[in-house]
Amino acid sequence: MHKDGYIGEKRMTKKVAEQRRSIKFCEKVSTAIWKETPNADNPYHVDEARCHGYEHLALANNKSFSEVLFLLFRRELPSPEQLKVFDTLLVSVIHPGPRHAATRAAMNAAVSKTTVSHILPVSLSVMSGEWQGSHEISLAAGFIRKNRWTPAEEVAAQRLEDMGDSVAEGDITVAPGFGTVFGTADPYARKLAENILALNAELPRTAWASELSDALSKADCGWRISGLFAAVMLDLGFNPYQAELIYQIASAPGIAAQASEKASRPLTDMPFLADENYVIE
Amino acid sequence: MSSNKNMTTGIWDRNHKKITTKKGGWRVGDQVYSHGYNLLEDLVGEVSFFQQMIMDMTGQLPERRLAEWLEGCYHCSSWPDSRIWCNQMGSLAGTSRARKTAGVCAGVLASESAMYGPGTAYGVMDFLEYAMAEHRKGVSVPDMITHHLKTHRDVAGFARPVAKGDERVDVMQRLASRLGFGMGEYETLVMEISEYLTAEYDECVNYSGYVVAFLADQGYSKKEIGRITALIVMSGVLACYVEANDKPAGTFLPMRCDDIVYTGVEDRELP
Repeated sequence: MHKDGYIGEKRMTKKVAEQRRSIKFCEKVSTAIWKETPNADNPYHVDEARCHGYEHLALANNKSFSEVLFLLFRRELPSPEQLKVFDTLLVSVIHPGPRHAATRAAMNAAVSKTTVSHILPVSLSVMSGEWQGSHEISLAAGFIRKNRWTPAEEVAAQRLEDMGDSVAEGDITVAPGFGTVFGTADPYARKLAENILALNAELPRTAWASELSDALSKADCGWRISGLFAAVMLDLGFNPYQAELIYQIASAPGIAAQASEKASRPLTDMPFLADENYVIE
Repeated sequence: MSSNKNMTTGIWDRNHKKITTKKGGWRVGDQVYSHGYNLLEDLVGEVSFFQQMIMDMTGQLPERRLAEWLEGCYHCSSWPDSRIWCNQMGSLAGTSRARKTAGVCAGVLASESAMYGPGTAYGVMDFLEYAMAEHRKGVSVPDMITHHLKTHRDVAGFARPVAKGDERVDVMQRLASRLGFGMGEYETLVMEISEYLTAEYDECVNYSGYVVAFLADQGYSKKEIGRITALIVMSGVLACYVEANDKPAGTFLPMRCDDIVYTGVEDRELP
């Protein structure tokens, strides 16, 4: 061993020195979203709160949850047409269904008596992925943003050609938000899309994505719910980051309700596979 | 691409109501299997927890010295400074009286960042794979960096927030030496790049750059390296959680209303 503690001829001994960067962090947090007027007697208490200029209680008394949700992210209240589309979209994804991995996580946590406040963090963590998960939303939104000025049929043809004759098992992702779900195009995602398009609102990106979905149908691919959510959110003026966050918020009620239903049920209320179906190779 | 119409749901049907695993499992009254071992008889007390953890992530039981290196690696990343972003999640959870698991999970989730922590491993490995491919073609370090910076804002693995340089690299290199590890080709290249970047840009290798290079030299893939380092901040987060949790609620960095600067629109009436 060398006196400096290194073994071997090639090991370098140059020390990596450390020094503070000359960068300045802010002294105070700033926000354009929420304004709190302090109480005269206790500066930690609030006398009045405002969201993008509107008094909080006025919003509570006159506006719906979804209107204020829209306001929080978009800085303005939605128009009646935007609100109709937004509400329809939020309810479209309010429950990913009892078979979804996130919901199963919530139900399993509930029957195994997980601390109740952990149910949503647990299940939304499970839902954070790129397959039927929230991260696919921002990826899909990015894809739509990048490609929407190219004719949808052209994009579909190119994407399918690029994929070649893949024989790998599992779902096909033609693009984030588009492909197969459990082996074929998702008919329910299509149904939800048609329902939103039937509102006849100004939704150019959604219309483009619908054309893409139609063009992909020859390969039995099409909309995924993530692609639909992303397209509509872009049309409502949200960015991909915001769309991913709001998808988690929108899906939480169904997941939470499923956990609530199971909370008082015994452990046996969820399957625990028998040994013969748990194969250790 | 041809039509998918005749595709069956075969892969899903084969896994329907059935789990097939190479990892292991519990046979009640028999034993707990782990990667072909009897976990309770063969592994507990015989191999270290970090050896087990690496095996859980890679499928292979590593030699003990690698697990000792990894323990040092976790040690270096788990310091109890509650200003560090992931640690602050632990402190905020602690002061809010959240459960300890919520606190540590919040910190670990936060550390999956593009700027620091285990979230950086994939980006670092992407760069190192590029750099190694160029190096094997005979491209010089200055040329590969110049080319890289034409399409990237920075060089992953060679800068860090708040400070320049990273003394943990030196500490871990000394530990690696003491454990008998020589310097592999990824680590050697990383140190060459570091010397060049120090001279030209006043930036040198950071902890993630070193750790990823070392683990790549041990033969681990990008995905495996990401998994091996997933919980690297855990203990520091817990330390911060514990301290805040043991103090009166809400006393970790409390904020007054006027600690927030409002930059939004003027007060207005609802339409």
